Amino acid sequence: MLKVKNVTKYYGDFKAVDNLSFSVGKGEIFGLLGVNGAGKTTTFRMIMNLISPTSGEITFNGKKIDYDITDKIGFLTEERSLLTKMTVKEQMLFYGALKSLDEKTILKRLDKLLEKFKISEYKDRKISTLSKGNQQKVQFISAIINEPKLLILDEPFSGLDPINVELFKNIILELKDKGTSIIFSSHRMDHVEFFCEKLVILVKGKCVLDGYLKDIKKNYKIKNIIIEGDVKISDLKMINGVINVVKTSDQYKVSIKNESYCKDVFEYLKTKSNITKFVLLEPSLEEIFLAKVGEVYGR
Amino acid sequence: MEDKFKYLAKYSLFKKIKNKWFIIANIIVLIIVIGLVNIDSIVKFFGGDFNNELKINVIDNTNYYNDIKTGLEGVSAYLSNSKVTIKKVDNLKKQKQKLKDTDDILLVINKDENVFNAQFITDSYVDMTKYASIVSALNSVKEKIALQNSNIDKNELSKISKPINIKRSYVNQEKTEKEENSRNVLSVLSMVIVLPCFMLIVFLVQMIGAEINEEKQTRGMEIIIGNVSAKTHFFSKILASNLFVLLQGGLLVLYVLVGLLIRKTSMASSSLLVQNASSNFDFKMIFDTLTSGGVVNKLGYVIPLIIILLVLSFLAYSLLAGILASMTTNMENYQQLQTPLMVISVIGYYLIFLSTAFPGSLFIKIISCVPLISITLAPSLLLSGEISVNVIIIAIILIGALDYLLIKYGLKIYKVGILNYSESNLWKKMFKAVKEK
Repeated sequence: MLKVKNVTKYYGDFKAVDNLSFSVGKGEIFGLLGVNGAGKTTTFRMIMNLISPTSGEITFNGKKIDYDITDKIGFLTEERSLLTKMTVKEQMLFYGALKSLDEKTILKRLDKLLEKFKISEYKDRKISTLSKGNQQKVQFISAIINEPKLLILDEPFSGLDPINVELFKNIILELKDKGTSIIFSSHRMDHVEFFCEKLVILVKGKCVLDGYLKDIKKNYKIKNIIIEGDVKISDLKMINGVINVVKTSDQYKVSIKNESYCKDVFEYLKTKSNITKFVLLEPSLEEIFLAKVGEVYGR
Repeated sequence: MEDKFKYLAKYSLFKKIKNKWFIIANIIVLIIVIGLVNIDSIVKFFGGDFNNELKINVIDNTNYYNDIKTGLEGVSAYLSNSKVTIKKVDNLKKQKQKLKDTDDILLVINKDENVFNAQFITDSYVDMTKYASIVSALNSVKEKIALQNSNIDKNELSKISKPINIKRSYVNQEKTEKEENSRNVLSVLSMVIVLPCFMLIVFLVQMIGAEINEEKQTRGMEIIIGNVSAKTHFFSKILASNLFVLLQGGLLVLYVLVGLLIRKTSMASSSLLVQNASSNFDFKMIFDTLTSGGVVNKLGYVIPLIIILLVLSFLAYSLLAGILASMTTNMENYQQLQTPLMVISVIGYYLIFLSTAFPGSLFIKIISCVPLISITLAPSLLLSGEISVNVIIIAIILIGALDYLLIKYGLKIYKVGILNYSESNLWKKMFKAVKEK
């Protein structure tokens, strides 16, 4: 289990991370969210032992992170961290050796992973000649070549088409099933929502929201109602407790202050004859994220 | 971690060696070195405005031909590129016609009140050396004949014509003439040795800079430093680059040996023309001069000191290059930052030449102890006798101290620098890193 306990990091006078605490259990996918400059990369760097916290402690399975432990960690950085003059095979041999793997094991695993990612034909190709998406696949392979116990994924779907996003999603879920603890960071809230059971939202290095996604959503009072039918936006907005109404192609999304106002909306809809859909939904993570970050930035 | 250190050093070294550009560069260097060692043969092979056979035809109207021929034969000593042929001829008109479009020389010797005079006839201009050596030979012959004609006793005449016997002696009884000669040869040679040194420094600085910047620019550094400490990474680069320099230095020596072998083979098998040309640079003679003087043997204890100085200096250059590379964010910035380092490395080279113009200069002696400059300056000055062994020892101590400081404080900068991708407040960050405990 990864434990980040009361971690603070200063760069000079600038506080990049402020008293951050969270834990990631075995086979758990944990979301670390925040806008640019929120302190995510600093947190990853501290977990990877690249920099030391100013205060606080980071442990993995009860031990302070050192180079023996980082051998068991996989790190997919947001920016490409590939040595592009190398071939795919050379790159894996290089990073694999840094993870204390022997050549035979690396090549065996590489063949399997290349097949899984459907890029076996690029094994001896220079990385610089590969497309952005294929480079991302190579980078992902380099992060999991050591079969990590902890995997840090910073924007893993960057540069991928929808088909490859699905491929990555399946592989991430496979890793989770095998017991890998995963820390996941993405600006795509739908992806975070898809994977993460637990998450932290960082704003200016400070945790503004954390916990299980299920609980976060449950505790977040604002709910959404999806309506299909002939209704008027102006009428909906007049209903007590309605915060906002958004019309999509054939639906209306009505945000209400809390669940109790649901019946007021329902009462209005009863006056209409052609309502085909009425669903009460939890708010999306994106809404919660925007609301929480907005609070800090005064929006 | 030890395995990772070995792996990184091995990887770094082999990456450089297996690189096709390393092979191409070495093939080019090999060709150039072989060419330089055999440059005289090459120049001769392609020909030019020089004649390989100097024909001197003499119309003698004095009956001194035999004396003149003997005198002119001495000309070959000054014109070692040419084979000198001397022939007695007659018929001035016919001989003048024969001179057309040739480099031959026609001498017409006529009697006069000053024993004899000579007419120097050629089709075109002759070079100064040829002209001066022939005139000098004729003057000597004239002096000899004049003395013979003045009825001086044969023994006295022999004494006059005999060259002066100079005995070289030294107040310091340890000094010998042979050693003096070999030191003179060595001082010239040491200047030649400095150039490869400079070349190796360039290799070293470029190699480290390019590697570190490549890893930084691609952010591969994040992954590397996530798995090995900055210290391990740093020293693996230092070790690999220094091993590379040693290897490259060894290869340069090998190329020179190949060049010498080719020279020897070509001398044994090629035409007389090349043989004559090759004889100008007699490496065996140089080697004999060095060994007979005992300098090589006497320098037995000095050579290890020079090697220590070279190794410590290469280490200092590589440490500095590594530190500078860690501070920069791309290769262009690194190229700019390493320029002062390159300038420093050539200072010594220029000072070697200055030292011949200002022998015993205190300033040059002091500079020869300065770290980073001492590598190119001190060995040369020591071998030419300009500085003593003590100065070399001081230079070693100073470069050792610099290495220590670079390791102690440079490593702190390196740790911060390699994960720094921003140029803002760069120097502030680095000074802060140095101050950190």
